[in-house]
Amino acid sequence: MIPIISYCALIYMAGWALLATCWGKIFKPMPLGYKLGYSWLAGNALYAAIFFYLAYMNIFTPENTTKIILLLSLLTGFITGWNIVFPLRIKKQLLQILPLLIIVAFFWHLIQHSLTAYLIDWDATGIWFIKAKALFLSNGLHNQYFLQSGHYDFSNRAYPIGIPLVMTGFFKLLHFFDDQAIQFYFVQFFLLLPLMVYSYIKENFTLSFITRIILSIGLFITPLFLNFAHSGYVDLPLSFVFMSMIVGFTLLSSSKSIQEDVSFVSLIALCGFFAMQIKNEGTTFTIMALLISFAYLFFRKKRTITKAIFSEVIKVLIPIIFLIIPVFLWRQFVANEHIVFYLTGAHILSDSFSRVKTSIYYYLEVFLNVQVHSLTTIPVLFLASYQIPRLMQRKKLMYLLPTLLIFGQLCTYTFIYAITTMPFIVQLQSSFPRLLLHILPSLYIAVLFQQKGLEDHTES
Amino acid sequence: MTFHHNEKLLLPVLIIIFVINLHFYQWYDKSYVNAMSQLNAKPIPNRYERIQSEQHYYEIYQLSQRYKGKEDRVIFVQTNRGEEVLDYSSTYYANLDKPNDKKENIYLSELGLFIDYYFFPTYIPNRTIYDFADMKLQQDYVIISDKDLTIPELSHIPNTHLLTRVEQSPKNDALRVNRRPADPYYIFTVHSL
Repeated sequence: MIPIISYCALIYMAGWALLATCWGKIFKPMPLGYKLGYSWLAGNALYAAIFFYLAYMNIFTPENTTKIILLLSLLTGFITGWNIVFPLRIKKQLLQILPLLIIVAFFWHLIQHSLTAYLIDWDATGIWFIKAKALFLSNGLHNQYFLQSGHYDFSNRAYPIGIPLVMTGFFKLLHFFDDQAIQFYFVQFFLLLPLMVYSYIKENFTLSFITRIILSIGLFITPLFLNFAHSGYVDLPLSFVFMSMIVGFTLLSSSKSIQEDVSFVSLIALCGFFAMQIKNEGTTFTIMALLISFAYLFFRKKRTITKAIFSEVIKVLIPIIFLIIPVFLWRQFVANEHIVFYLTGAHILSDSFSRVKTSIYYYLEVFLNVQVHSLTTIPVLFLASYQIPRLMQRKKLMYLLPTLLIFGQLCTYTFIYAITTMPFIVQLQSSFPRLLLHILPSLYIAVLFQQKGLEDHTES
Repeated sequence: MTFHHNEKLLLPVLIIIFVINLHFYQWYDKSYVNAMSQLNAKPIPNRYERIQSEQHYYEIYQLSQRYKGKEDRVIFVQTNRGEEVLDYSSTYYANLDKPNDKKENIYLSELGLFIDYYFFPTYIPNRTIYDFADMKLQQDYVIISDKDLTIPELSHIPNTHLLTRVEQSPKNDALRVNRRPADPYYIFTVHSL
């Protein structure tokens, strides 16, 4: 237990240090929930990128992994310690810890279960953990039996390997393939969901502590989230990244200077580049999120560009380039090794339109299923149906941009179903509940953002 | 504690929804506590082994450890070749460049998946009952199957008379919270030829 808890703490620490150094202007004033959420994301992105470079150079050995983690932890530990302890804001930080403590206490048995569970689920075993095992037993990507052998086609070898890389880092450090303890790593993504929602409500609405905590926990105690909380599927991590990007966009919408604009857009990009390393679905979401962010900046009231913007751009440019390169290297590697992806060569089919109709009916069936979502999605649907026309009527379209992004992502899923080379119904029924998981937390934030738009209008 | 004017209406609604959602969560919570109490009662000091011993495919894991370096003596017979175990991804990839008359189906059950996973990096081929009937068995071979090959109904198949079924530990599956029950599997050794 101690090794995995320490490993997760190192990831948080690395992310915290990265953000405090390069995104300090926007990171320092953030509430603790955001800080932890974004630190976890940035730490994961950083670890995934470093391990990717090691794997790409075929030097991903236990010795190198240990050295790198040690060096990184010494460096980031110093920066994080300096940022947390030096400002002597411990009392303020302690007050912010209360919701975190309540969330941990509430999900205590789930956390314990994550530390004592073996591997069960199909995709977790057959796609993500077997990839991690292949990386654990080799020194990298080149000349690897797993990637070259056709025996493991079921694992969809062309899928991105961000999460298996971070998992493998832990196994290499431990010199043991502990597929049980690593589930504690997955549960972090789950625990950060209510914490981020709590922080979002606190920052944007004048609601009491009890309402905030009930709302943020209540949204995530449904069978869908609990089943995927630490199952080893990467869908919940992806859904956390998507939600963080939406939160990033809401922060961008209230930024006060052009330097802050640069920082928030690059923060969205950082999250997006990690999403692209988790699953292919992350690519479309990231491209759309960046397009919407740039469109928002373009159409918003213009700001004067000052010299200060360049120092801000340079500060974030180096980590951003460092994090995006693995995405392209992986794509290039997949192409060079002739690893086939099931959508390669897929095209519009004669039954594509009827597939779209079937998909939409099935979406509604799953979305409104109370056995899966309990009483969460139905009230959200009612709220969205009320708020969207009101915002359109008041021409507050900016508050609909996150909803538009989610809708766009749903459209890409529909398009994939329309052209897939796999049996359509089988793929739809086996994958859509998980795909819905990707966008649900984002939808909760998007609907809260709509509400904020209506409140802003009332106040103005 | 002060409440915003709209919150006096919002909070009761939220509490009602929360209590309804909590009903689902309590079931999970009880299941987690139950699973952990059963696990803690096991007298195995090694944490990994203790948890693993609850795994439905624990015997497969043990075989993968015991037969390390001798994986050629492990035979996997998958008798079920139905639609429910058709592996669409592998079938698609395997047939990409094949002409229509040479296309083949690839089958993968949960048992096969865990065999691939535990025995990795060695690949244990997934054999049909007919392949098995044609094999030359040796005394130290171990056979894993999704069907009891020693039942009288299969006695006409060559090689089945050489098998002795290995007793497996009972599984309680308490840790498989809200997952469908796993299908049974069978392990055999070859008795004197």
